[in-house]
Amino acid sequence: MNDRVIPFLKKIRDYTAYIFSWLTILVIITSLIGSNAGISAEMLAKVLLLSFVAAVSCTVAFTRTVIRKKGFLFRINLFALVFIPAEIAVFYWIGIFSGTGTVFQWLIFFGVILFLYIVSVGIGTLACRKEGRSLNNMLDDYKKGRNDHGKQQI
Amino acid sequence: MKVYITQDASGTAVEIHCVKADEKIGKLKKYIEAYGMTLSGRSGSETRVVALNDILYFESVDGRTFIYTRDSVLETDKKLYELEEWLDQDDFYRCSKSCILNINAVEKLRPEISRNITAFMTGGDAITISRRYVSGFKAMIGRGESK
Repeated sequence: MNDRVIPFLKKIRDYTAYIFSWLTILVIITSLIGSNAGISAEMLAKVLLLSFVAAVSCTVAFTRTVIRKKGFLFRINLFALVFIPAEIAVFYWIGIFSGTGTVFQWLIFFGVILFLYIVSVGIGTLACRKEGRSLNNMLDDYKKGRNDHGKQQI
Repeated sequence: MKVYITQDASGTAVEIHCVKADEKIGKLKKYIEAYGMTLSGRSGSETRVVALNDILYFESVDGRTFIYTRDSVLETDKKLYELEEWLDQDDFYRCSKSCILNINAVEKLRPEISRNITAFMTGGDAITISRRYVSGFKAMIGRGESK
């Protein structure tokens, strides 16, 4: 069990660090643009929590530690189902969203999600094509091997 | 390997002389048995005999089994599981609950994002290798020449 648990936890740690560093950079840029006085420790703690939730969602959805036999579409849908509500909740907590929000805010929010989803599916499709080339080479070798095998037997 | 041919009016039979009846000899026996094997099928009231090499795939629909060749579709009384046991599994692969395909008739494979693989057959038909059968299929063709 340690063979799976420890690498799993390491991945969560690494993903959390990666996501947190990028979100912190985004917070800094946003603060500078908005001329905010400073970034509070409370804000950074909330960003860290969001990073952790994203990291756990990613690790569960896209590695084979928990989900072993599902394909890319299932994984990305699972990630979206888990992460999006968490993201909305943290956005409210941070103060990015308040009240019911505006239509424009929600359009931007879901527009970005939809764009990223489409890009991810596109990348998945390209990955399938690459796998297709490899599979077709294997098929050709297999068929050639079967033909040669038959000739040897005769 | 020495090969001798003796003409005998009583019929064609192949006898294998070997030091040991191992796996290789078993494969040779199976290949000889399969050589020239045919299957009969019905198309309407007509019964036809089809060589295995001409078969693209078998499909089971509503409890009936159909043989697909390049230019015809025949019905056979054999069930899919019977065909699966009878056919050389290095040439005919059970690719889903309802289909057995002839690997030699597959022209191109296309993996789908849903984890199925679409197999494009000679003649243009497209058969789906179900995701449950994909890993077995990959393992088989990944071995290269069958052992």
